[in-house]
Amino acid sequence: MHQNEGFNVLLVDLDPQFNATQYVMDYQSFQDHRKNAGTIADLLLDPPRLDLRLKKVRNNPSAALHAIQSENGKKFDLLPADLSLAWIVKNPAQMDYRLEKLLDKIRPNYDYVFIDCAPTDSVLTTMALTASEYLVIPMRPDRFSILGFANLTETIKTFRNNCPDPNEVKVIGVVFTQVTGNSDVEQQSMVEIEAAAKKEQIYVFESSLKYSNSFIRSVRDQTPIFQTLYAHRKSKTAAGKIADELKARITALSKAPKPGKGKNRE
Amino acid sequence: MNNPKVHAILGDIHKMLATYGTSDFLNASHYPGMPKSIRLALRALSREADSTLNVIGLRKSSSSRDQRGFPRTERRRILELLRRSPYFENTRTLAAFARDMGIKINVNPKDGREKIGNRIAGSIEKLPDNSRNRILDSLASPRDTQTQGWIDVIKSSAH
Repeated sequence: MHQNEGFNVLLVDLDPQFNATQYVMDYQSFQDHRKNAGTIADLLLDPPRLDLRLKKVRNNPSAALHAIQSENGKKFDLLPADLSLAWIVKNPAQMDYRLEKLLDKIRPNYDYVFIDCAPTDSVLTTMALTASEYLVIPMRPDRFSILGFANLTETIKTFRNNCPDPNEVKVIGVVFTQVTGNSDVEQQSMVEIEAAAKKEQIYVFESSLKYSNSFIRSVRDQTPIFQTLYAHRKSKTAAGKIADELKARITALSKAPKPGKGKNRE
Repeated sequence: MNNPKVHAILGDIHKMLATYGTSDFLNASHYPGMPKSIRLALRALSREADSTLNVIGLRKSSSSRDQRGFPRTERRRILELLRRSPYFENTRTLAAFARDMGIKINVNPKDGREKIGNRIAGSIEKLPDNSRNRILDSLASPRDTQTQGWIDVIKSSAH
């Protein structure tokens, strides 16, 4: 979105495994950043002692952002995570709306804010759903994903039942990743997921990410695949096609009439 | 033995020892994709280059061996490898490295990196050849320091 369209994009890492952070930052920069500016855990948790560094970050959450790329005045930033995010999962009380309140201070500066979540249901997922307008589901076409899809649809239903405004999160759809295209079992899994998605009235993207060793190598090189010299053209353009479809879906969903208003949170 | 090839080989080796220093051979051993046998040979040359310095009197210490009878150069070389590795980041990463390598050392809260590093180097020095070389390999190997660096970040966060 940032590379091809020049949008201001924020990537929020909300996974205690913090792979998104590890992908876009080298470990030395991360250590300096964590020491001097903090991570999302510092913004969400209540530490026993608020030192000067955390006071600055709490008063100005933008200070915790790491600039991944900036071009022609448009930015691609990261709100990094670290292992201490797991503390929130262990102590979930009164956390549901914290991320939304935090992002309210930052989101006006961006065209798109992506929140990277773990695929497990936890208070972090609830926080992300609360703070989000849309949900996109990347999925490998295999048996575990079929089961995971069933779990996720239940999670969304539970969230909507408990959420004051059930129309808040719209599901953009499922996008297949790591598709090899040469396996009957894989094809069968895709058919099953598409059938399950149709039953839940969830869209399945036409574009997908094909499996490529270049992805593995680009992760190791900490370089977006479309900036590498070794990736095949199709691998490089696949992400762009998914981004185009994502925008089109957001446009379509934002124009769709709302079924009815829910309760106000206030 | 009067084999001309043997003389030629020994002559080339002495020429290399006269031209390059300890750190030159050590840096060469860090080159990516280096076969293990060549890496060990370069490290041996590094040790030899250091003892050559000893012979021509550039070392301050009058004894080339410590109190336990081990060559002082070996421990210093291991300590130098440790200093250059990502494990020397702080005392926690050093302690985690020792733990992962199965090396038991005492770590007091007030101990700094040099003290802990010295203890680790001393323990590595006393290990049997296979174990010592395995650990030195992991210290000297240039493969993917980012992955190793991130592993150390995760481990130090967990403790």
